[in-house]
Amino acid sequence: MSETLLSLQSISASMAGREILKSVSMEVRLGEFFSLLGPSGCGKTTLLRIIAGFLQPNQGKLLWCGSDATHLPPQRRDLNLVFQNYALFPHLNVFENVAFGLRMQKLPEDLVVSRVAEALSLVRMNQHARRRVTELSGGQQQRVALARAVAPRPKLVLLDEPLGALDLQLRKEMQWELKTLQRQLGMTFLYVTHDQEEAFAMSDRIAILNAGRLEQVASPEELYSRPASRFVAQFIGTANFIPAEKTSLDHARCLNSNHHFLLHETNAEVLPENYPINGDILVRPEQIILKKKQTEELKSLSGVIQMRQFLGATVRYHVELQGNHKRTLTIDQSSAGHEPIATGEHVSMLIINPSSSFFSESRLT
Amino acid sequence: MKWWGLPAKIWMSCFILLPFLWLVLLSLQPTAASTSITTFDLHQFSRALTPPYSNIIIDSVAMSFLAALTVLAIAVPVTWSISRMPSKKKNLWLALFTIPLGLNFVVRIYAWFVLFRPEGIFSRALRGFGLDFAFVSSQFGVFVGLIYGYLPIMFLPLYSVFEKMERSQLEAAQDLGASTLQRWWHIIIPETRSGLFASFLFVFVPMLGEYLIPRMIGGGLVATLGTQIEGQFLGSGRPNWPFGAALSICLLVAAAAVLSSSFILLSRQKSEKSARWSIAHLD
Amino acid sequence: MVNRTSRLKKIGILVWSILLLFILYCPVLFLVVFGFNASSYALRWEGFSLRWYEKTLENPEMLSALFNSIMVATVSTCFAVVIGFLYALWSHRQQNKKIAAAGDSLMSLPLFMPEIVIAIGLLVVVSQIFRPAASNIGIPLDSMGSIILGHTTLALGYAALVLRNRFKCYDLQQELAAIDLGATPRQVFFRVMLPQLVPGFAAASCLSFAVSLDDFYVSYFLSTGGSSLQTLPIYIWSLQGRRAMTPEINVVSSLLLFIAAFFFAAGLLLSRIDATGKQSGKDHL
Repeated sequence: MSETLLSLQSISASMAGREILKSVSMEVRLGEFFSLLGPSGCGKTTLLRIIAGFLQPNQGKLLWCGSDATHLPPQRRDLNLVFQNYALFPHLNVFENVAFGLRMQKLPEDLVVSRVAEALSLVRMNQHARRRVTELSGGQQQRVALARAVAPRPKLVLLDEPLGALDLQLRKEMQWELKTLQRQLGMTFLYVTHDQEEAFAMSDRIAILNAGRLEQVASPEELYSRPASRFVAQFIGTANFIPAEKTSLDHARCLNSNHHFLLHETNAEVLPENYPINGDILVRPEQIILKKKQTEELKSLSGVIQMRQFLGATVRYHVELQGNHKRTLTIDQSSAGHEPIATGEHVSMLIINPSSSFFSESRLT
Repeated sequence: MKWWGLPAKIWMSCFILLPFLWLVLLSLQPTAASTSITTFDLHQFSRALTPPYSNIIIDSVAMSFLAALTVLAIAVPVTWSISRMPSKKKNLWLALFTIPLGLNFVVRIYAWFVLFRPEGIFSRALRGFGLDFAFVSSQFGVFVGLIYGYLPIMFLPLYSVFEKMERSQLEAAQDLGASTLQRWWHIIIPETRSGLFASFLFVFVPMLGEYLIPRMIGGGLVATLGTQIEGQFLGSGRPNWPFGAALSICLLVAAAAVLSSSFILLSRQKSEKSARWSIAHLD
Repeated sequence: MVNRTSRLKKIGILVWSILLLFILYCPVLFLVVFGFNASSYALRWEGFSLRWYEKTLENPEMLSALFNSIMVATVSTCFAVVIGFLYALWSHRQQNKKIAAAGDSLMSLPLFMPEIVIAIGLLVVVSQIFRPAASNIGIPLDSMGSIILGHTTLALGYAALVLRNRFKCYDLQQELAAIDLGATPRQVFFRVMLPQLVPGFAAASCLSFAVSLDDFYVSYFLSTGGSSLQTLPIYIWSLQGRRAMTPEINVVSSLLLFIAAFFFAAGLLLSRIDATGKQSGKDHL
């Protein structure tokens, strides 16, 4: 395991009597691309401001390389921010914007020049050094803001939804660039976003924040396959919940069929050991194979096709589950060699994942 | 940080709010000699609201109202067409109409007076055409002078109102077959109504208290609210500050009355419109 | 058919505009031209001469009026811009929008009140409250002082408005960015905020100066209390009241015209310049 750069210890914050962060604890490791992901209003911006030093937490501690930095003023923290609206200085040109942090450190002029040139070439803006920042396009302003933040070579770069104002195409390009840049510099990036795809595309690890509470910190793969809660399961990708009962510590059984599941040992939910427990099994859309129903097969789940959407690489079906627990499932079939199934047809469903996550009924959202 | 706003607020309180309050108190003093605040009665107001002063107030309000309306009517076509120009041309024309605002008011009125005196070049020229108007020392002259004096003030506020009007709306109306007149009546005027009122008031209120124009162009023969107020404070006769204060309160009340009646008119029109709309869509 | 009516409309508007411009500019142009008159009468043209310019520029009465005007305008501009700047700082950072809006409307009162009411209000409080109070503590509040108070009040309305609008384009996030990059509060003030507000300062100063030079009412009402003091507009007013008008009045008017119009135009132009020093289409007035 690599070294811990930043460690939050039960950080709580409230504003105007409203609790915004509820005892958040997590660690950011040196050199990783870490994302803070959550719906708007979940408290991620507040957390970012606490890390940057613009806000003080009501409770908890912030450790920086192992030492307490909770009350360190922003200008003395070895981290720089990329603001959502860039917050470039309109009266300074590109060069002077990037040089600002270096000048604050009172570096000699030749060093300033070489560092700015280096930062600008990293973001491919060196030919625009003398331009006014107000004349730049959104993407270019974004790059300048990035160069300004990395030029003083901080240990950590905080990025507050920096791609929010760009259009889709540009956003995709910038995601690649950011990731490449972070690899090149070997700096730690802490990226705040509400866009799950964006976080997945770039991050080594992601922290999911919901209503001020930290739900899970894990790699994208783990978040997708082993979500710690119903919220995470639904927030990351599309989730189907199929009624099931848990029969032992690591086994569950589907209620409408004889599917059996091996449960992840990492499943965070602590349940009373009083089996069977009613609840749901998480099944992702691509983990089900649809077949036209020929004969009465007792063993498998059955349903009726309600809608079909052709999405290119996949065909998406909305299927109404038959049996005691009616609900609509979303199922993706690879479009390669797929024979379309018409709306209204009865189908049988084969679940192909060997292990899954179980969520008890008590936490039904 | 918190106290930064204080100097400005204290300044305005001392030199705008306090004077206003003091004028109100002063206007409630019974005799001309009273320089300190002692008793309260409405003697000054009852004097202000009976002839000849009541007539002067009514005349002033009527003249300012008509003059401000005329200024609006003169400025609207020009400002509208400027607001529809391509941006380079627009700046030039706007500058041409804005510069007179920066020319000193006293100088402009004096210049006007000089040309329109009976022996002035303009009045002589006009007399040559058989147009013999009394541009000086007459009510009419003061009226024309007010229009000339306050015309430059109208352009900027009107322009900012018209500039916000979107081209697409008018094109949509034109596309649906509305003529120029219909477009003005059904779209431009209703859309810019409150802005037009604001511009009107911007000219009307200072006109109401105008002293310089009636004094210079009117030659001391035309009595307006402004000249009466001045006379009570600095006049050659015996000064009567309480009465002057009462007259200026009357001025403010008249301005406020026009302001609030325009508000009522605006909101009633709006509610009438929405009422008509809801009746039309009842079934 | 449609083309012809729209062209007619265009020509009509053009004729109307030119007529208006003629009426607006013509009297003033006449006045300026007649300042170069050789005659001893204000308005009888007897050939070009700089005689009256020479005479006017040596006239002590006119020189003292010019001095008074510039003195009053300079001092009240300084007051108005400093107080207005502090106000704009406060109002921009005020979290409660209602309190900020209330402050803004208080500051814009001088723009909407009839000038004559402001002037007599000041006359009344200066002579009945402030002058006795000042002399009690040993400071004589003369005409110059009270006119400066009045002009500052008028100019403050404009200065606060211009600076306030200028602040609206100033993003407070920039300050966080600067602090984050290691700037001290002093550096934030001098390297981030102040450079962006320089055009706004210049615009507010020019407009305040022009407002003060232009004012007639406040000077007129306050100059008679205490020792008599003439500013340029008052001097022109007094010349106009005299029996024999020499071209001197035209010369003084021209001088005032040029000085005041210069500051007014500069103020307007500066208020259209954005923080980067570029012309923006938007008016910050």
